[in-house]
Formats: sequence, structure tokens, C-alpha cells
Amino acid sequence: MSGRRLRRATAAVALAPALGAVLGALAALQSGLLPSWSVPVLVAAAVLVYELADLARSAPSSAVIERPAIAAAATGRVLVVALLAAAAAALALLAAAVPARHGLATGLVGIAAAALLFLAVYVLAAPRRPR
Amino acid sequence: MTLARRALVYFVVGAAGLLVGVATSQPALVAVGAALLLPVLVGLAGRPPRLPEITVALSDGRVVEGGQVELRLTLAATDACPWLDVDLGLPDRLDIVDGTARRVLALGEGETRTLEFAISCRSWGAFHIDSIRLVARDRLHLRRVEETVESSATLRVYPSVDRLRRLARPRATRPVSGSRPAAVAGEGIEFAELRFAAPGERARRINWRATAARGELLVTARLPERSSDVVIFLDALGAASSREASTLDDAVRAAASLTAAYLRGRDRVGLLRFGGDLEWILPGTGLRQQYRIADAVLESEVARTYRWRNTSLIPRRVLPPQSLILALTPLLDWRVTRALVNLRRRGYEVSIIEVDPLPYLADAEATVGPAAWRTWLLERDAVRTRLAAAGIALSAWDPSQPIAAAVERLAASA
Repeated sequence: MSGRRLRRATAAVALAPALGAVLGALAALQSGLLPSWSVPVLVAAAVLVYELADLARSAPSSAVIERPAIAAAATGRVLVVALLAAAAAALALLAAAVPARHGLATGLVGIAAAALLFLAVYVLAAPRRPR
Repeated sequence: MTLARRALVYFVVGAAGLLVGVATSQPALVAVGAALLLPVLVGLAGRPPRLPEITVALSDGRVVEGGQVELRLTLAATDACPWLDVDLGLPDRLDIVDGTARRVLALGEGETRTLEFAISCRSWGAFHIDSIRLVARDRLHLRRVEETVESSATLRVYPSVDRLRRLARPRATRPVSGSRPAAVAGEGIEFAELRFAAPGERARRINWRATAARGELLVTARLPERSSDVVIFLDALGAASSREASTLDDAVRAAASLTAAYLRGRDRVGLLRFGGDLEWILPGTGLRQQYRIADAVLESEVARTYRWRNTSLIPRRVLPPQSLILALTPLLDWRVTRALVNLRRRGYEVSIIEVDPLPYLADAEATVGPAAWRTWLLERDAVRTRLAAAGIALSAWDPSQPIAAAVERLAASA
């Protein structure tokens, strides 16, 4: 695929989450209420739009871009980053929802959140062993 | 290694959201901050991008103008490289055929890929493939590493050679066999004349048919085949040029054609390049000499210099006595004209093929004005007259026409 075509396709794909994020934000502003579950979704949509727009801007237009590179960029750069953002936002909201008092449940939730964060970093960033 | 701008944006916005959220006890803002900081954290904790090892190879290091070669880039990745941008920078006179010079690919760990670029060689020259830019990014495209690879691969594109049938003949020949009839009769196969037999004449020279017709003993005089010395004088001091070509390009092509034609006739051919530095190749024969001269002219470029070049600096061996000096010049620099006149006065036979600069100066009249333009044309006429007065034969050549016509005019005028 040529870089110019990738740019156009990426920009077109970015329109859907952009529209969703704008509509969601408008609805939240209209109602005056922002449901806590919508925050990770909105953040993920915003990150998705930003990533797609940046990819559309930075992809070399004069180049021939091979399919594996596009697939790697779509998964690694766009999807993983959006999922990480959504997961981090959800985790932060979960942590905020835990009653602010000391106890076994609080400790367990804290440990679970830290373990999840560590696991996410390990899975995504740890060096792979040679095959 | 450089950090992508996105990483900075995520970090600044995320940290601000986190701080403001904590300060104002807003979980949503904290969530936004955490959402932007986590990708940065993951990206920076991962493996940094690493460039693959690159090997550059040309299918052929020598090609004739208009030909094609294949450039192979072998990329051997030690680490996985999900986004590798390969940008091949080629000199102006080389083009990529059927494709682009820039490719983006993904390489797995330990993978080796070979990229092939078909290069069309539009014009002659010695080119160094010295600009291969590699940019690798990590999986989240947060870090990038960049390198411009310097390759030692050199591509020599030789000028195309026109077939020349008739050449300007040097007046003198040297006592070495060749394919040019000498001016003096002797042992050879080329017919010279019929003459009366003299005492001591060899019997095989008697022309029996003419003797029978005339009733007197007649012999056939023949001319021996000899070779000559020719020195190609290439003017690299001044050139008229457009974006695509210049008079020097045309002169180099003509020099290649003339060299090939004279060498085919078993003459000795040398080269004298009159540019920023005086460079020469001693006269020689054979295919090796042809390539030696072709290699030398490939390095030709217009020299912007104000130094006075004196012909006394030229070693005697470069210009053998009685050799023909064949100059290829647009007659734009007075130093060249003066050098050629000096050579003529030293007894050399000098002929000039004037590479017409006018096709390259289409806008000049409008730029300098009609009066200045006409004065310049008159000055050129004066130069030609001066050269003719010095006994130098001159033939104008329009580069859009084959060189053969100009050479034949020169041969006819000699």
C-alpha cells in the first residue's frame, strides 16, 4: 500500500471514534452527568483518534508501506495504546471506588491493581526470548 | 535514539491530569492521567528499537548510459523491527524504475530481507550510492532510531557511443601499422598510383594489365597502413547547461564516440582534460585505453576557476609530435581558445568540434537584452575567425544531432 493511501485510510478510520467521542462528550455535557463507566471509553476513543491522526500525518506519503508494517502499526501503536489507556482509566476508577478505609478488601484490591499493572507492563514490554 | 513527540504529549497531559485530579479529588481526571501515562510507561520499559545490519550490492558496477542495474539491500535484523523505513537517496541522474525509493517494512527477530531496486541510468557519471536512510521504531512508535548508511558501492555509467564512419584524418602517421593509409608510398595494400617501373623494381609490383594496355612497364605503387596519434582535448572550464544536461555532457559523449572510433582504427588516443586541473592520459591503443579514457571523463565536471592554465604545463609525452588534437569545446572560455591557438603555433594539428551552447541559452536573450546578446554572438564569430586564421579547422555541432555529421564536416574540411 502506498503511504498516501494509508494516510487517507487512516484519516477516514479516525472519523468514527472521533465522532463517537464528540457525541459522548456532548451527551455528558448536556445531561450534566458523566457516568464513571464512560470515562475509560471516552479516553480510549480520544487516544484512538489522536493515534490515527498522528499516523496519518507521519506516514511517509511517497513510500510503499508493506502490509505487515501496517498490521504492526495498527495493533501495536493504535489498538494496544488505546486498550492500555482504557485499562489504566478503568483501574484508576476502580481504585477510586474502593472505600477509603483500611481493611482486607482495600488491600486485596490494591494488590490486585498493582499486580495487573505489573502484568500489563511485563506482557507488553518484556524482551521476548529468541525462538 | 529520539523520543516521539507523542510520548512527550502523553507524559505532559497525563501528569497534569493526574496532579489536578489528585489535588481536586476528581477520579475522572486521575483516570485520564493514568490512561495517558501507562502507554508511555509501557513503551519506555520495552526494548529500544534497533536497526538491522545492511549490506549494499549492485548487480553490475559498470553500465552504459540508458541501461539498468539492480541494487540489492540486504537487511539482517537481530531484533524484531515492526516499522522500518528505508529511504534510498539516489543522485539526480539515476532513477528508480517501477517503484519508489522509499519502503516501509516490518522485520521479525532474526529475519533477513533483501530489497531490490531497479535503477535506470539516465546519464553518464560515476555515482556513489551514499545515502540510505534507515529509521526504525519500537512497537508503540514512541522511540525511533535513525541512521544514514554510507555505502562504498560505486556505479559507473559510461556515455553511449555513436558509430562514426568517417573521421578527421591526421596529416602525419607514425611508423606503426594501423588502418590509415600513410602519405608516403611503401609496402601496403592500399592503392596509391601507377608509375613507370624503375631499375631494381620488384617483379610482384608490376601491373601486367596496365603494362599490356600501355606497352610500357608500369608498376602499382601502394600506401602502407599506418596509425596516428590523436589527443582528445576536453574543455571542462566552461559549459552552458540546463537542469537536465549541459554542453559538458554532450562533449563527454562525443569524446567517448571519437575515442572508440579512433581506437577501432588502431590509432593511439590520449586525453587532455582542460579544467580546474590539467589532467591527461598518455596516448595508447586497445580496449583498455578506451576504458581508461572513459573512466577519466566520467569524473569530468565544470570547474569554476579563475586560474590561468598554461599549455606549457602539459608534458611533451601527452602531445606526441605531429599528433592531431581534437578539441571538444563550447568556446565559452577565452583561456581554452588561447590554449588551442598556442598548441597550433607549436606545430600541432588542431581541429575543434564546437559544442553549440545556444540550445541551452534559450532565455539568455531575454535576460541580457538583444544588444548584449548580439554583441556576444559577434564576439563568438570573432573567436571563430581568429581560430580559422590560426589554421584551426572548426565544425559546429548541434548536440540534438548525431556527432557523426559534425565529424564528417571536419573530415571534409581537413
